[in-house]
Amino acid sequence: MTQAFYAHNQQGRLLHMVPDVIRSRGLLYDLFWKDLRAKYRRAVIGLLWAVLQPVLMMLILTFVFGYLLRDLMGARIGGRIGGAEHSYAVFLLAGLVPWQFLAVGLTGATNSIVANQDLIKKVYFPRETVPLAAILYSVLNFAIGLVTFFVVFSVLEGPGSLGAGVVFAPLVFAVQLPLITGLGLACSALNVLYRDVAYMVEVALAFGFYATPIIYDLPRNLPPWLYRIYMLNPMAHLVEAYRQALLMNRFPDHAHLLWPLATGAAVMLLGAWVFRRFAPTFADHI
Amino acid sequence: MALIEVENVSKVYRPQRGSRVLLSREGLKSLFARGHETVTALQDISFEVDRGEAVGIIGSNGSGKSTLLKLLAGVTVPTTGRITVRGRVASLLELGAGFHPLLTGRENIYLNARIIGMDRAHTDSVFNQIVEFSGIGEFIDNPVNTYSSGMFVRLGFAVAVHADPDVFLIDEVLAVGDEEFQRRCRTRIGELKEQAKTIVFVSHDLNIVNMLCNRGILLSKGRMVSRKTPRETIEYYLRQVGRDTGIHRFGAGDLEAVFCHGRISLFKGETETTAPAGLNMQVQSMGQAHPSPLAEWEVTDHGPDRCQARGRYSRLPVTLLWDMRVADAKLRWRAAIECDQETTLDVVSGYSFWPAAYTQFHADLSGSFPDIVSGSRNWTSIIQNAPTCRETIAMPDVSTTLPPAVVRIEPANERFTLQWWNTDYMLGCRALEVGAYLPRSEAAFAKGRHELFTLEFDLSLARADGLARVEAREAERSVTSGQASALMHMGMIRISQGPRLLTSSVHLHTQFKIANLWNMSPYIQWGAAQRQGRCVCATGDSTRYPFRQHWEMEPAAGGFEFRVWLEALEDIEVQEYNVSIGLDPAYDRWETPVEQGVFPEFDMRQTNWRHLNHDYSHVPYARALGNGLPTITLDAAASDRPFQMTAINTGYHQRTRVLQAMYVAGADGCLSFSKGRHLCFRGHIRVGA
Repeated sequence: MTQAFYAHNQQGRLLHMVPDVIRSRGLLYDLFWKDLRAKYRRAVIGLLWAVLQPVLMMLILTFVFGYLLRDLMGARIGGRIGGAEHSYAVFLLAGLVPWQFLAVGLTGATNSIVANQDLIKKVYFPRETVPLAAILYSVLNFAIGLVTFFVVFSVLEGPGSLGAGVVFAPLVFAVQLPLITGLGLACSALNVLYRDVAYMVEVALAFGFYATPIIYDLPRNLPPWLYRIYMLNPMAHLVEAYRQALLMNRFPDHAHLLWPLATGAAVMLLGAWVFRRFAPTFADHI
Repeated sequence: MALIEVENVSKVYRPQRGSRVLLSREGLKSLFARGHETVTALQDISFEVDRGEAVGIIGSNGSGKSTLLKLLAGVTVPTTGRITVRGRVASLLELGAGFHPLLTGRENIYLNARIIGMDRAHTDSVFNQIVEFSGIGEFIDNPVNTYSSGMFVRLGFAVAVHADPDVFLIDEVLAVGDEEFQRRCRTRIGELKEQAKTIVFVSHDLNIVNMLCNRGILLSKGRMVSRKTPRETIEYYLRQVGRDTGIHRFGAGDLEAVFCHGRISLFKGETETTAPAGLNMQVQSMGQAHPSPLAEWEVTDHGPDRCQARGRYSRLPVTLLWDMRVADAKLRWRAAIECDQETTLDVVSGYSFWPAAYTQFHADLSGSFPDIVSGSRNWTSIIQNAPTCRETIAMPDVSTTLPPAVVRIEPANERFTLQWWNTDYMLGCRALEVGAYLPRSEAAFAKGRHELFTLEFDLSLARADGLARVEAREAERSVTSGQASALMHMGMIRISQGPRLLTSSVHLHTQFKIANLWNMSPYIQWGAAQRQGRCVCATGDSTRYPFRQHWEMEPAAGGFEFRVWLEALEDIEVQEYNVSIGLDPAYDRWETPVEQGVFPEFDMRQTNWRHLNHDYSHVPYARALGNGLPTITLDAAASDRPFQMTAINTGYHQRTRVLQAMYVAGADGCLSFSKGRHLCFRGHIRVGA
């Protein structure tokens, strides 16, 4: 028989999180499907939007940054990596796909608890499932983005250009996932207490977009002290790692994996702790 | 081991963090200040609930009931202390929670089931039952935002009760949905209890708590006051929590009344004589019922023997004004309403609920309340009285100490009538409704105050006196002949032999067919029956055609003589008319001078009346026979006109044998009655061989 203790020191326990989530994986999956279906229910082409939306989004960004802005400024902002010349669209996509993963996952997770307040206020179930379902959605988004990348890549540079990157990219994904999950958990919990968090996340993401080498290459010619600060951003490492894997078909530099791995682990622990600390009383604050 | 253990639980709410706005006057200080004022919702609560127990939590608004239920559901956790729940919990407080409006009913069933902890295989196995119980039918594949709110809640309830959890938490679900759904819920909850499920129940409906629960937990301002039997808890609640604004206790002599948020309970000595639902009111507007306990009540004036209260509806621009006073061992309850603006009220009713131990009613008519059938979901109308009826008595069973209850009404208008009901099984009591069902033309209440009625409750009558009064009143309207008696009531005459009622359903009545429409005597407006010498007479006015009927009933050899006069107010043409007598279904044979036969069993599919004879020649009489029953003869020989005699079986739901003397106009089609009084029927009803 299941036995549940409803007390702060019991539900708040960090260690319970893993078994709780594993036990409620069915619910996680259902919530994920609910979001997905509900989102596109009234649209004529339905679930196709889940594919079309990220693809179109990336095509627009590629067009704007790859052609419009480049011609406007009359200068090249990136495009060369590892000595080999790549078309800008491919270069941009390799950075944009992981960035969108972060942006979609973090925004979705941050708002998830508040968006599901009807549920939270009335039924008990492991609260983690709600932000995790939102992150699951961003994983799907990422997968679609990655496939788009491969398609664009093979169209623009020939199918022969695909290589070991297909294997290495998921590896980088595995490093990126805990980072996003940790941030998502923390922000979703804090957003219940202070709705300011959702706005702050939006602003931070807008800033992060430019503080990460997405539309340009790693700014190696910055002053060393500034470059060091710049490289504290784990996303900068991750984007670079993705590019090395996808565009150069090689295992990314250890340096670009270890720092995100370390920060990811820390953020994950912190996020889970924050979430568990506030989750039992979400219903009181919504 | 107890299924639920609550140990020293307290819950303190702090103001929401998000509500501290930096830009307010308090500014930054508020963000960092410690020791904000906190709200203690629950304080040091401990109890246990065992398997199969049903516990009712009662308390006034803000006493912490809902918080406690939330804690038990695990929606939030106690600030201190701890709650252990062994087994799966389904809370019916989340009906339809998590239903996504854009998803279909089917998708939502699976999602909602998952949220309350059912796996997919389990949901598959009960899916059809859920759909059937909810009554959603073919709409199951439509998005739920196309559902009515009733369907929405029904579906939620259906999922929750089919989750087969160990513990049910129920919070006022019965206050939502339509009446039919509420009955269904109550029945279902009754079943759960019979299956020895553990139930924790929060309700304002003390009667349900009393019916359903083994134990009552009373919360008052977050503390647990008492937890004895539900009945004791409820009485304690009604009597002790008296300082609350919506509650006042008053009385004189041994009669005591407790007003509590739109409900009055009556106590005589130490016994509560009303059922826990007490006395209350209900107005209905646009088909939506608004019971008085749902209004926001405030005691405006009070004294040791009186109480004045105002109850404001939040969903109607109407305020209820009650003035209650105990004097001479009687409670006088004057009810009025005040409308803020013109409001349409279709029905205005005052209810008094009496325990099922009251077994007999006496108003226009006397009779015994039928037993309330187990599982019955509907209220059954027992007797609707004539508008002239101003007094009714409920007599308790001899085995109880309850006093006879005499209720008198002084209505503000003629629309108010007294009607006795048997309530549904869960409420399990008798209800007296003082109701005005207003036609459209009178349903508009102008802005301002409107008197409704004054009800007087007299519990001082001794049992023997009560019985004597009842008999005297009935004697005025009945005639006896030997063992047999006939009681005239509202266009029908009931015939009994000793205590055995021989007629049934429609009893003795008349029908006139005018312009192809049947005018049945019970459906015209009857005045009170009166005695004139040996004879009892009554007059009924048709509201549809310009005629009036006068009935006269008097004892005659072997039975009664019955005369029907038609008074045409202007010339009127009648196509056909008859005098019919509806008899107990135990009568199984019939005969006329020319023919005889049996009354067949009633057929479920039969809805129309079915003639059993084949010979329609004019004969003087028809009779019905049954084993152990006195033979009933309808004899029209004394009439001027020749009648055709028929034997009829009614449809299945009426299940009555009918003898009918009918007069059909000739080939020209109509029988003209000139203005004036005409004797239409003169005949005899003989009881016995």
